[in-house]
Amino acid sequence: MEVDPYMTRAMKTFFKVPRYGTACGRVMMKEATLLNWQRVERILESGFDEALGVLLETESGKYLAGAKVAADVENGLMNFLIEEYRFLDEICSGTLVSAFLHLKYDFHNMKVLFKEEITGMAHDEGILLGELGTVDTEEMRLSVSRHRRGYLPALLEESIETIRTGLDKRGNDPQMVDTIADRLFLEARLKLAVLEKSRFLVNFATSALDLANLKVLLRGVALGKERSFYEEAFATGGKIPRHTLMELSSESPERISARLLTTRYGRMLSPVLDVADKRVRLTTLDKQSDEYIMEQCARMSRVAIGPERIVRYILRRENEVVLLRIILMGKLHGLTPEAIEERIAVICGSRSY
Amino acid sequence: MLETFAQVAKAATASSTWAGLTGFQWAIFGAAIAFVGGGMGSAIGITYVSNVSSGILVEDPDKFGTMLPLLAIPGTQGIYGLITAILVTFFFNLSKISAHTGMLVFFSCLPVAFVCCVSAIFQGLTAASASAMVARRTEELGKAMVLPALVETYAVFSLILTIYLFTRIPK
Repeated sequence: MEVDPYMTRAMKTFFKVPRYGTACGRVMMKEATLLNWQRVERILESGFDEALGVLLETESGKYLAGAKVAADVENGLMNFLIEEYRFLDEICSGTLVSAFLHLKYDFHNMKVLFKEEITGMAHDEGILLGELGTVDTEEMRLSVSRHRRGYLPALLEESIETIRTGLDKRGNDPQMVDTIADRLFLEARLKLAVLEKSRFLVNFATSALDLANLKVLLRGVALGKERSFYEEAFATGGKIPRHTLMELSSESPERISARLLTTRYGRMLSPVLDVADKRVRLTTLDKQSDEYIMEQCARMSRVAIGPERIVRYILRRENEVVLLRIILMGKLHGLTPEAIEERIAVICGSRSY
Repeated sequence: MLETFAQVAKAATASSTWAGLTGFQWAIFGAAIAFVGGGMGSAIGITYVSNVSSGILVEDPDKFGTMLPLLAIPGTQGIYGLITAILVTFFFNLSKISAHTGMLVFFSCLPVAFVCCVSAIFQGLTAASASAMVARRTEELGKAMVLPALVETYAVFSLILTIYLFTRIPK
């Protein structure tokens, strides 16, 4: 018997609460501790030590207490983020939401270790984010250097193999590591979302994948990249099919603009693809795609119970860390509150961060 | 449709059983289904809101008193089901009930059975969402209670309708 998809969608509401209810309850309580703009303004107006005093009223305060130099701030914020991810692991056990959010750090570590192997140079301390990933960095190092196999989750093991094959084929280029790993990350995250059977996570992963593909296409065309580059860089599984993107990669910028403006990302791309000027504003592209993702996050706030609430909370915490880093580093380097606020506006977009 | 129903009622009046069940059995069936519907809905509804509340209470156990009304509110439908089941025995003399009356009792119990079952589940979902308001600000409990209370209205209406129908059934 075939089940009506609308019925399936409606039924999912009833299964969401038992699956994510407790996690959402805990997140609801923690949401009250998120940094609000009033507190950000107080921090902006005060000196470095006073700012740390204001932060003591928040969740991140105890991690930053006694910070004197940039490294202290960096370590404190990193420990705070690690603690938040531990909280995520605790509340999301039995679901793939935690793995979905951790994955980017696993791929970050993978890229660092591959580059370390290719260049033969040790990475700077602090670049490896072992505690934010799902896999211990030493285990990943052994897998990356082919000393061990079968110890990592299949998704990561396959990705390491694919990167290695790509490097063997295209030469040991650190840039190629980024290109292949970024594609594999997006595809792996989409796989996790599908496995979790969450429409929101699938849409979120698909939009991120599409936006990444569009960035590759527009940057690649501007830089005159060859077809082989696109073959490695385009991820599969997005709303804009890979073959369409491959076709577009050999088209003129005007034709690309005309085609892309008719897609679901047309509105987002319209300030980027200036048809009148016949040019692509690459600087606007990052801002527009970030705003598109933020729009999606705003839509998440309408959902009371579900993975949306959990993902939104973690994204807001990550944003809080970025914000605090800008403010505290700015204060350490003697920047004025106005100058720091300008940087926040550029990096975080709007006051509603 | 009405004709068919009238034929069914006529047939039930004429015989001491209908569809193999006596009047007593029909009435008990109605009472049972009213309680099962209400009770089942309440159990599911309370499970929903408990899931969210347990998360809130892990973070702040002091909120137990505040969360309790939200936790309890989907439980009222189970009480309506129980009231309906008990009222069947109060309104009718079950030892002498005809198949026709028994069947009418059964149909009169259906509003409570279905509406209470569905409304309790949705009330649980609404109360679970409303918990977010209480989680952030305890003083918002009043507002948070209004939302699931609106769902409650229809369960109350179904109970009123069932009691009204009981009064209209010839004894």
